[in-house]
Amino acid sequence: SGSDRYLLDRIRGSPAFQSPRGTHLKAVGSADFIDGRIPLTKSQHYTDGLSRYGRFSPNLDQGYHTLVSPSPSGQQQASIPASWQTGGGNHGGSGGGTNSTSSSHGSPAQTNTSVGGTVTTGNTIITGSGRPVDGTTILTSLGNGHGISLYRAGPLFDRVPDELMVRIFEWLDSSELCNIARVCRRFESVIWNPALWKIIKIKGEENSGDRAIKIILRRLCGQTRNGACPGVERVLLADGCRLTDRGLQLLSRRCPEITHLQIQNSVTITNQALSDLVTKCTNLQHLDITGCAQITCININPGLEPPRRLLLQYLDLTDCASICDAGIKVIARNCPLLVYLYLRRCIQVTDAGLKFIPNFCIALRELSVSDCTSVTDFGLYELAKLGATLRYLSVAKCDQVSDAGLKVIARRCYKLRYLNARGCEAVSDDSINVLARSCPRLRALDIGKCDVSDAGLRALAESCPNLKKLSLRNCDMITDRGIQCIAYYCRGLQQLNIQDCQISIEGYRAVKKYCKRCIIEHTNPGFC
Amino acid sequence: MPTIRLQSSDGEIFDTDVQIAKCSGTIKTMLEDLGMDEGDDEVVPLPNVNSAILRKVLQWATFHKDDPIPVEDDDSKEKRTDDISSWDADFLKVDQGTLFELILAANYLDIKGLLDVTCKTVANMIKGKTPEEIRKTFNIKNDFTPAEEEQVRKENEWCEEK
Repeated sequence: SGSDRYLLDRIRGSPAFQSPRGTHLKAVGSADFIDGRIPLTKSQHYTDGLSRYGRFSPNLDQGYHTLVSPSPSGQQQASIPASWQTGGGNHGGSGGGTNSTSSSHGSPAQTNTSVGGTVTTGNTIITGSGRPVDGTTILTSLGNGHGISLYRAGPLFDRVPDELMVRIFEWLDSSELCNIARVCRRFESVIWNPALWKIIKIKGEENSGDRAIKIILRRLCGQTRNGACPGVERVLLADGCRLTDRGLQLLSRRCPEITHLQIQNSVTITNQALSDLVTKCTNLQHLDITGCAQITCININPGLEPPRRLLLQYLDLTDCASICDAGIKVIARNCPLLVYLYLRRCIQVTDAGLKFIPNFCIALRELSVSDCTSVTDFGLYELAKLGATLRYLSVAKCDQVSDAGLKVIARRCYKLRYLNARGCEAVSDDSINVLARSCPRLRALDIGKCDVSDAGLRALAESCPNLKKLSLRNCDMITDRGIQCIAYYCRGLQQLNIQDCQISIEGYRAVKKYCKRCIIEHTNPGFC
Repeated sequence: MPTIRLQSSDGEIFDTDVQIAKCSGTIKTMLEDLGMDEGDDEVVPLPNVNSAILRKVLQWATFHKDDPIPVEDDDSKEKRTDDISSWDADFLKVDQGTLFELILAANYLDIKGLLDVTCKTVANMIKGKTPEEIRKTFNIKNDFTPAEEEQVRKENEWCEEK
């Protein structure tokens, strides 16, 4: 069919086909083009007929008689008038767009024709050495905004206007975009559409965050006067890809509109670079600096008038092991809008630091202080002031936490949906009873290794019918009786962990019987 | 069930349930703007879609007619391409020409669901391939000079320079 296509293109390009100036420029879609507006030559009818009645494979045919894009070889390109090229590239684009594009192209093409005398002169516009030549500048400048690119990308992509190419490339991540830049000129020009870079995601140890950011930002917005990339909203580094102060400062300067930033394990980042970031990027809402071990504080650069707070709603400080109570005080004061705060393994944080959180962050819904081993019941008394707003709390492995602290939390934060007290071995039925009665909305509970017995489970079962996830790992006082109770009352259970518990096949069967959708994690080879 | 008549670029008429036709934003607007009443014998011309493609589009729309209305694009949701339903995947086991025709038709007819799933399918054909493999897959000519190619390669390489 390649030669047929070649023939067809030749015919279309032949002088016999050249219609009076203007006529062919009015064409709305290429279908109309063939279907009637243009007087067709006999041979063309014949070829079209062939394409419709099976000379071409049916599949090829489906698109073919509405397809005017030339095949890739240069010779064939040369035989197609410029108007064809644009018409073809634009076919099937949004209805209105097609119209306006065609008409806007009327004038430049005409200008060209009158200068050169024949339509054939226009050909050089698209071909030449592959690079657009002089004539093209006229066309492109007028064609801009209509999504027409004169760069070629093979017969299939030729028919797809730029804005639709963007719709395809939207599904690729940043590294894939950089990879496909090497395919051809058209790809290279389309991928730098700012719409494709709202989210910059860089993964993998082998990649340098600094270098990637530099390359992308330079290519994306190096041309604008102040060099800003206002389109970039999220920058996410993951899986070992790290940033240094230089990269972070570049981001702060170039991406003033950034809302989300994730720079996990960038161990060399300093307080100063982070201050520059939060000072310049006033829209920042989401910051994940997990493992940035040098950070002790998040503060706006001094001297700013009027002083302002940060808009941060999400802050992940997991493994920021240098942060101490003074840092928590400044952070809490600067971030009054926080909704999510994670302080996992911030091992220097104590009750004295936690005290500042409810004072400033009154909207806090989620808080984790897991593995902050200095935290005690006194810290929980303070956190309990968060009250009904708090929905998620993790005090996992805070082994100084006991019944006294949890009871106060349960009574005051009665809308809790998630509680993780795994490894708090001083927690017993006493606080679980209060928890069950006070927090009926509880959906997920981890009391692994706690000092809980069947009595505690019965209280939970009777008061918390919404339980979806329950972990009892290593609770060695629990028996089949307690599990049966949970199974009978909490039928929406989806996940149950009874690893290292004294549960027999009887308890296991009860869960299977009542909780149809429940996945049971266990360590008993006799089950199943 | 009220129907309307859709006419493809090559003149074929498709009697279609109004409900199904209206999954196309373009047709929906057309009907509303023209004030076409159901039951009228008027024909809606679709000059940019041929009969073979329109048949496919209507097949897709019929299967998806009860889908929930798609929510506005939520940037916070990660864009996934591995969540194409098995029906859609089977439906899109077509040659590349047809697949690209469907993209153009979905865009022209303004059917977001179909546009998304066809674009995802093409994106999946791009993912994980080297530039050369992509050129082969889509019959794309490498129009870079060797020097340009080297420059583009360098420009887009993130690894630390040795």
